[in-house]
Amino acid sequence: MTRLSMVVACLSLVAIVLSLVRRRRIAEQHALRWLLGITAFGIVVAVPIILESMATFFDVKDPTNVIFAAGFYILAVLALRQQVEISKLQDEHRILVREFAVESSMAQPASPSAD
Amino acid sequence: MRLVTIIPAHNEAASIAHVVKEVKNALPESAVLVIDDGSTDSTASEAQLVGAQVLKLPHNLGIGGAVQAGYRWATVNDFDVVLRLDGDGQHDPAEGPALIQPILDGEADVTIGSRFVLDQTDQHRPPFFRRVGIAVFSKLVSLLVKASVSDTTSGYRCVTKEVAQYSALYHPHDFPEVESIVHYHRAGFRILEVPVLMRDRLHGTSTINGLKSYYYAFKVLLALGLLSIEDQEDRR
Repeated sequence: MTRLSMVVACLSLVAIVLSLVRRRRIAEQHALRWLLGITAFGIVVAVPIILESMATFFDVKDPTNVIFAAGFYILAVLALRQQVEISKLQDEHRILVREFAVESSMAQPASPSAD
Repeated sequence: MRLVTIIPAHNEAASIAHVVKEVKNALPESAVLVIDDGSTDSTASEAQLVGAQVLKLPHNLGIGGAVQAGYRWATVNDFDVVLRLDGDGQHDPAEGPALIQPILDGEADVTIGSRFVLDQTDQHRPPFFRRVGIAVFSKLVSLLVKASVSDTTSGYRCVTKEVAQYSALYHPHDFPEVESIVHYHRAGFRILEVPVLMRDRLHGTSTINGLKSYYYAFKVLLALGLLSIEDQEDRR
């Protein structure tokens, strides 16, 4: 039952991501990362032997803890990745705003001098 | 020699006209550019009314972005010397010639107006914790540039055309004053401090207060730390 609900949760996440792509709220390249992550998570949930093998490999007593650890790690990497992209966009935004302002000022006549 | 005074301003409607008039009186040969950093008040129109050119940024970029836009404008318009002062009235334009002259004489590429070169009793004194911060930054920057720099947070500066061109391309975004000194040194520019008197703000309060002052300290220390690591890597 738990496994079934996890699979349903994965499928609903896929539906949400696809809906966001369809409504142009998220770019395909970002959606792809989420879809790959959800698919990997879904496979691990649907095929318990994978999770048990991973737990044995990492010497984790309770296999579900592997899911929590992996989920936290993946989310942290995704969040960092987003910060990198936001920083890059901020830099590009600053350059655009600056160049726009300079170009606009060149197109305008000089201010009249005050006495 | 073509001189421009650039004045970054964010919501300084109450003081900007006075500052522009002071610049025009003290430095009649200078063009005056006010960089309106996304103000929501009448800063731009107040500046225009007293004859300043206004570079209007559609969004607030912060002091670093605004100053960089000013340097970019000065570069595009082929100015030889760029004097930068704040729009809050703390910097007296009458002190401008003291900053400009070493640039014209070829003694320096960057001059920084310092409150701490001379012990002046009528000097504006920053709050205690800010003075401590300034002292710490001064020590760190002096170590990095291998010369004494006493007022690293001063925004009262004058630069050559080459420095303006450099700054138009490379300039820190947040709280740029301290970090930019190290950048200038690394780019091979000569830095000279000039004693100036600073005044209290004409109106309003500093934007660096409360939690922002902690962020300021953290950001500047992080930037200086990274520059120090880069220096050590370069030496290897």
